[in-house]
Amino acid sequence: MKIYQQIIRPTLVLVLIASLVAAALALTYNLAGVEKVANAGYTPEQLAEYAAVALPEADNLTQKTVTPSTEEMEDSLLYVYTADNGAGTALVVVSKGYASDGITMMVGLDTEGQPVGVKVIKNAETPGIGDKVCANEEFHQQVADTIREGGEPDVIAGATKSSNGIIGGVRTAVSIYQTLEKEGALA
Amino acid sequence: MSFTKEFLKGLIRENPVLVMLLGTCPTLAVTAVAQNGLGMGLATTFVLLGSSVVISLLKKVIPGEVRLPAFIVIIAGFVTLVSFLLQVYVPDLYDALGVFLSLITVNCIILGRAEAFASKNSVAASAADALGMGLGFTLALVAIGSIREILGSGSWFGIDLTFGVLEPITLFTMPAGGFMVFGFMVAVVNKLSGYRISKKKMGCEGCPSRAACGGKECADQ
Repeated sequence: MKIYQQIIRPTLVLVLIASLVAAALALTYNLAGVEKVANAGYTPEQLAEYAAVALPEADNLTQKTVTPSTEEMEDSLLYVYTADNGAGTALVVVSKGYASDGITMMVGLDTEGQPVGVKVIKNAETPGIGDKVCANEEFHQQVADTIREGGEPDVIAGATKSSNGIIGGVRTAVSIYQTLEKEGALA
Repeated sequence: MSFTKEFLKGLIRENPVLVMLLGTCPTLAVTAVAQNGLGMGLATTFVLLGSSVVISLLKKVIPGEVRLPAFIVIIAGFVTLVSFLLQVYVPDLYDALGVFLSLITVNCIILGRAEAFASKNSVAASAADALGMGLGFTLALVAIGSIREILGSGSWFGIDLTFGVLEPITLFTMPAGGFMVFGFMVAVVNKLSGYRISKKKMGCEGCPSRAACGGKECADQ
């Protein structure tokens, strides 16, 4: 009797509660359609807004599913989009700024794999310092242009790490593009 | 005890954040802007209300030996439910709250109310207590969030107040500013209450967990 009261009954009650909670959550997950939202990527409106800056010549972006084959892709690559009119490719990458995984950005690449534009989608950089770099579209364009021409972009004084985050993100995108191209994943 | 009294005590007199100093981590982490404070407060209120009602209903069924794991499973269930709903219907808030949404599970206000109140009182009284505590938490978060947003970002609930003339004090959106505003708020509440709260807080009488141990821990010392 003591064993039942002290060990078996509490165990059964806890198992029962946990099972009921799990069942209720599974039901909510399916009814609310969480899976669809979690894997949806960006809405068409958001994509159009980002692409207007990152890859202005593209008409419509279509998402491509790629299997990450390198560590670089595993760490940095979120989504791959190709332009329907063949204007190029847009990669969404996560780059390390002052915060690790601090900057999520879309990098537009032309048909040669060279950067044409950058759009910062989300950043967790220091308010008032690093996030100004993330909002500075003139700087983003300058980084893309300089890297395309084979130069070394200048950083913004006082926010070196965030600037390097943008520059690093563009370089990562270029490098991932080359890997994808070699694998024929973009065809 | 009347339900109105149970409800009102959480708003000011036993405010979980400004008087009992519980749940400081989410308080400081999400209040850089008022809107996130409001969202966090309402999410927590929902979890608090749901878990208090369920725990109060099950208080005779849950054996004392597994009471804490059972409470945590129920609380975690409600937190996951809220995070599913926010992810689907309010994705912006879901992104803004980030990891602190899941961390509502270990918010000591919720487990504290479950242990100290809901597991010992009727369902209606527990619901009144949970609503009062939740709204008290929300009020404190919105107040701290408003001050930090107005001073730190020059806006309130996203409405620009600087008119392009004033430069906001960025410090207030950062952790240090959060601690400062929090400290001042606690001081002001203490002053307004004529230090009644902090005097009462000294010793066993004022301990928020007194209801849980019934003064036994103090008697042992």
